[in-house]
Amino acid sequence: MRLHDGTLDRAGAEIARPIPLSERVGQWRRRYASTLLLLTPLLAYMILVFAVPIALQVMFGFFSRELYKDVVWKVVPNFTLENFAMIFSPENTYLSSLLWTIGVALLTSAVSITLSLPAAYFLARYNPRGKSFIEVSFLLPIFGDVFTLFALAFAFSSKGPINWFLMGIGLIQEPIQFVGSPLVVIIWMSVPTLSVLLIRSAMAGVDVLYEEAAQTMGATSLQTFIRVTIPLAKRGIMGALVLSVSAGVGAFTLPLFLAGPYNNWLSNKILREYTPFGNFPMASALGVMLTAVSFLFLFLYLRTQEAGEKS
Amino acid sequence: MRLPRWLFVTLNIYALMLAVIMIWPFLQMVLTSVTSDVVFPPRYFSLTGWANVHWDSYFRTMLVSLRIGFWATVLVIAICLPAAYAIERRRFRGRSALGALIFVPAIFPTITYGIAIGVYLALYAIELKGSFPLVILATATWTIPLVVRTIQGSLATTDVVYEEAALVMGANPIHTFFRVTLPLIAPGVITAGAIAFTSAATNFTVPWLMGSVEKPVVIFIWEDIGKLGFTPQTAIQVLVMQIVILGIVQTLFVVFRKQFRGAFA
Repeated sequence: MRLHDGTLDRAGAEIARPIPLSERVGQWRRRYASTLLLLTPLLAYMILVFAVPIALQVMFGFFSRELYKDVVWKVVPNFTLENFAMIFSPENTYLSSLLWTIGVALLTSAVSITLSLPAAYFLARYNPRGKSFIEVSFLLPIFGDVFTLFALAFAFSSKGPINWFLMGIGLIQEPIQFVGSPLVVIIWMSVPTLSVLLIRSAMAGVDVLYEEAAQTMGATSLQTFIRVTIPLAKRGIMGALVLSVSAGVGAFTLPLFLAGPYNNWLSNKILREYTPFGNFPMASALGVMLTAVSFLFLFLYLRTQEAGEKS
Repeated sequence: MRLPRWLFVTLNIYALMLAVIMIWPFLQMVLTSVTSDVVFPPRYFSLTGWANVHWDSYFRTMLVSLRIGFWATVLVIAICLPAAYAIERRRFRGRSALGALIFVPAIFPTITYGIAIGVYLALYAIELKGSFPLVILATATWTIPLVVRTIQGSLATTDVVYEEAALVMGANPIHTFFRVTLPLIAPGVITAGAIAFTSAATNFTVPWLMGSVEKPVVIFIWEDIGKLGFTPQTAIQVLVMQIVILGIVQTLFVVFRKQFRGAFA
């Protein structure tokens, strides 16, 4: 406390006394040392196993290569933008494949989210028949896509159930060659999976009161759903959409298994630069592009979340 | 809001239909495994496919998969358990940033990361390429976000009061963690372990890109397709893999069922 004449009393002097550095370090250590110790394994792992290879990849993206003794390609550490120039030059197929990857990811995510909206709302609000069965089955994609991939190849084969069904209802005369074409990948990416559960929890968070108010004022069920429920659950829906898009951009096993090793997805282009061609700088540059695209979508997602918080 | 009867029924059928699409890969595999060709509707039922699989090499690769799954799970739980505890229970600067950073592997394209590690090894440590510990390190990365989030969620729903009581009565922090906190969050830890195990044991991209010397079963099946195409044997192999891996996860839940009492209520 400050006394009448402006000087400090004893307690005040005690507070105002400058704290020696050693004491401050000691304080800090007592407060944070155990926390830091707990976090160290994860941080060390993330830096060594995750951040370092990625940083090196960014670096390699700017390197070039030269033929060493006419036998092997060697990576040369000179800074060049050549790789990125090659990606964006129209003579190569990289740009079209980048656009194809993003386009398919956006299209299939939009379809998949749209298809999952009614199911998610239904599960959030009502008590349908076989509710636990439905919920458990939507959790199955967590157990990896390998199980699904092989089954898809059988189902979409020219004598498989899908073609049998389509021919049975008279939609097509000849069986469609799904496997080996991008069609099967696009179809399966459009099927709603985990997004149903994500959107369901977002919609369960919307108060029924708003819907009831809209209904009381004479809105129909569909109007209420589109004008009230969806805007209120926007953040959850956007989250599911971004997760779906970034998964679609990075799709690798699905095109490789079902559309064959010569598909047009960027992930496959990266693989071919890496393994048959051995062009490491180009593979790294393409990898950086793919990462940049998925981080762009993450950034957009974070922006929408912030906007949601402000309003 | 009240739905008209017809709409309710339609939506119910729609939801059930989506659920059947999710379950259907498993049914497809069961059906294909007992037929002699891949025609639908099946014409000839036979079990000859089961005799044609090279079971000894199949189970050798299966063992590799299970080992990858096991060690990746051990590693990832050992790393993530203390970190999840720190993020949930302690307050420090950059806590929310750290929580967000952990999510980076979840949205990171698998292929990019696999190539990054592959190029790094090819240029600097070619002798380590495809070695077992490195495959485990690289496959474990993918499971970190889910594992941290699951354990963190479990910690968030258990009351701090029990830990504080133990501390007040004179137990040291380490003792408290192992005797009080860990039993309370056991369901979360086991679930996280199950997720990590399944994801690591069925990972195709990373072991494949790293040229794993010991082949996991997924790569074995993939190479089999390269040689023979999609035959009933493929379906049998995938089905057995599915049964073994999900069976192990299921066994885990049965063994620890006491810990799960009331966890899913």
